[in-house]
Amino acid sequence: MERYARNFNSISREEQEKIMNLKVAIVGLGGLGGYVLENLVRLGVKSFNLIDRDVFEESNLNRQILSTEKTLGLKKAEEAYRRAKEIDSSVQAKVFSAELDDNREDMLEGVDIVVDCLDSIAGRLKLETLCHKLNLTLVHGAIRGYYGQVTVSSPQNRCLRMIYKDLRKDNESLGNLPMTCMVTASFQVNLLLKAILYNEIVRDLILIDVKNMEIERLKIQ
Amino acid sequence: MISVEVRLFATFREGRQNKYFLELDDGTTVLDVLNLLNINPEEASIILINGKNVDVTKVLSNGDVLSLFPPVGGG
Repeated sequence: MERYARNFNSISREEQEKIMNLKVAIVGLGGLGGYVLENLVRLGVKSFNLIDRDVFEESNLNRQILSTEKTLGLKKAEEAYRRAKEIDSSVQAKVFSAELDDNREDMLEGVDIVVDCLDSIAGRLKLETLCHKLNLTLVHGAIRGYYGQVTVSSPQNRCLRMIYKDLRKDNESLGNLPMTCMVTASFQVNLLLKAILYNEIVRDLILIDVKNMEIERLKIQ
Repeated sequence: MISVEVRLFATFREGRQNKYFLELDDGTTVLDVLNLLNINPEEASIILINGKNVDVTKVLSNGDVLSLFPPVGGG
């Protein structure tokens, strides 16, 4: 347990055991997913389903921690597994270098919780549908420019449809900044811990404004 | 005339203020405010008045707080 000495006592030994027995699916291993993985492996998660259809491109280098000049052209999901193993050789993962669709139950089979790190609204709505079929809790995160948002879509409260309505596009011209990725991913991991350790499902949409350093919580009805 | 507070969130803040205090004619709708702030109504995913979901046809009342959110979808 020396590896986790600095997790204690903010995290109890019992909680650490729980974390080490978790199986987490990370869907999308780009800006958000890379940092979510980094956080979770260092916290002590040992088992993952890692899902991303893409390979690294040059435009990922501004923010995606798994991308380096050496990993350009490599599959994101495979590179994620390699990075996780580099930190902790006992990590095990099922790797899917394919697109998630709402009929791909196999991609989420056996996991305790799912983290939404996708980069499109349409993909997120498909993921929520799949999680609903499988009765899984989904920790949502999304960013654009200086702005991020997180919330939890639980079996009792499927909120992504309420957030996005029937809109499928956002203002892509504002890009994706690294600070926003890191903060938003860290909040997602915190929401995951609350759900797993304390059974606390955060229902508010938490809005992160990195530019003005403001965080606001919004009730979604 | 009515006084309304408008709060903008996320990417709607780019090139605009975070908050506006507006004096508006009676009968002003959410759609009128969107037009005034040069926001495409199709880009407003969540529209709240005093914390409750409304649509763009809703007529504003004195003292209302109107909150506008865009969809945020990157990762």
